[in-house]
Amino acid sequence: MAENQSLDPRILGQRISEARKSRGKTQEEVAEFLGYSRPTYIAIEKGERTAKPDEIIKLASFFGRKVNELVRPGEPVTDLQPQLRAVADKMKTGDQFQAGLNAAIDQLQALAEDYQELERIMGAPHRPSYPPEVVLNLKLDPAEQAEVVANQERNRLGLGDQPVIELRSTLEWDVGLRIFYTTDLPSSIAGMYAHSAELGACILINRNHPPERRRVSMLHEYGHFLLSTDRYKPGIDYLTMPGRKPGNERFAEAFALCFLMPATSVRQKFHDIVATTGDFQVADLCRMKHFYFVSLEAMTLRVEQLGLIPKGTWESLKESKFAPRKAEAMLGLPSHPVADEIVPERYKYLAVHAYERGKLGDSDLAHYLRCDIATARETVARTLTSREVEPSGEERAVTMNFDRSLLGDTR
Amino acid sequence: MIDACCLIDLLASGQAEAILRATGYGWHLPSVVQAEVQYVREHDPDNPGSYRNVPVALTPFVGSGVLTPCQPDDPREQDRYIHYATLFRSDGEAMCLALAECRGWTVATDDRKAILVAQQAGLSVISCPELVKAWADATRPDATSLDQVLSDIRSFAQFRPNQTMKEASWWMSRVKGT
Repeated sequence: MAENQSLDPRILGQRISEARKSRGKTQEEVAEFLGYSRPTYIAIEKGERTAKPDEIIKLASFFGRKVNELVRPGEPVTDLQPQLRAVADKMKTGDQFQAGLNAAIDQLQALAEDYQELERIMGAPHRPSYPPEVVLNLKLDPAEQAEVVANQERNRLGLGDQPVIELRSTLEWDVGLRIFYTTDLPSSIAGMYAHSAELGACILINRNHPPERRRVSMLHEYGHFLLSTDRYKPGIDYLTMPGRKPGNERFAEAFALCFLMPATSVRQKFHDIVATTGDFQVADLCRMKHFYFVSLEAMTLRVEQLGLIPKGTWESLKESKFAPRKAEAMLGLPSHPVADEIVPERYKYLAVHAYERGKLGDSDLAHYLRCDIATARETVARTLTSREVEPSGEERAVTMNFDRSLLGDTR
Repeated sequence: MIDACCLIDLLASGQAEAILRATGYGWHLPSVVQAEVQYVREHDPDNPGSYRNVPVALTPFVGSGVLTPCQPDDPREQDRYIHYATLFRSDGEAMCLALAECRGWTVATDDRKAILVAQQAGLSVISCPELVKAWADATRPDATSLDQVLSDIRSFAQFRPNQTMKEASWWMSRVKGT
């Protein structure tokens, strides 16, 4: 049987090597599985010998991968997985924890590669708008520097000091971060960050956490990305870090809170409430928490930090077993829209557009969107349909043609 | 030969076995397609107006002889499987097309890209509307039952026929009439 002409032995070898490492197998073990000598197997990984079809099928099964994952064309993203795995290996954890981390790292790698593939298929290159790196002054308080940087970043993005409800979209469309969600991360991990030469900044967030917490986690990772010391350094972040935190962690933590709750805005809101009602009560705190779309803990600590309420208020609320969700419901505060899909919005649009153009099939689309075929088709229908109101007041569904040009002939 | 897309659409009808039998073909199910078809939607009795996923049991279809499992056995089939696997992000589509090509079988698929690739490779393709029409012609169900089948495929599998599919206009005219 002639060698499959559609395969590049070097790329195939790289993908086989990555799948082997991800599965935790040695070259010796794989060679033994195939019944070959180690040098023969190494020649496959190096691309000096093209694996035969039956070998590829056997290897895919041995590594727990799909065949298409091993033979997909295009250069693999080579720097995300090894960098993050090196960080994960240094974390002193149990087997189950490590397995969860590794699964999440594999997922980030696969999602990032799929994102790049969609951009290639659609001829829509990634054009990020990254801010300059921040050099942390070790003689100054990192939290104070974070406050300044958060305000600068808000101004750069034209956000003023209003709450940013659609945070994930803002960071994706306006900054160019690639933010994915996963349910594979262990519960004590908030998220992870890595920078790839091909893909730029990639963030993976723990979807099992409440939306308010995910917003803090996204900005925490973004805080690391801003720092000159951390931009090109992969990191995996716990929900809470035990012991004294280093400067970069304190910066990232404070940046998240300052970005979500700008000091001028919080002070203004607080003083408006006190001026109107003559008091500041737990219900007001709940309304502010809802306004900024943060957790009650984050809101209380921020108001405490700004010196507007006594220190220790959060501790006493916690001891009283205060239930913020119940309080929000009692106050009739509506739920915020929550973007909790695994893939980012731009990624989803690219996939749907590629499907509409016939470049992806139904099964491909389900793969890219990480869902079943019926849900993938439903996503297409939802993405291409806009609800419009007729002059009569009746609602009408308008189906959009993504490929229709809207530029005039005179341009 | 049937792929995951088409099988999911037929399973959504609640009449998959009858439809497959009515065509008069012997149906083959590639091993990876079996793994890809895990759930089918149905109405959620606890939440009216919404759906729930229920696991699919294909064993009875295999046991009754409606579906016969298959996989690439010889080097040529394996070579074509690898070739098609470079084109799709689903091993099921790749295996279906490889086996259909090597064994001269018709492939039943509702996957837009699979239809295109199969046609370019000169393969014989059949899709859900044609299969349902064959069943309707053979068994003559009453209008209510037929419309229920089309409606279930539409809502549970979110299937809408492509204009280029055979019997798409028959399907659309029936759906419009309901």
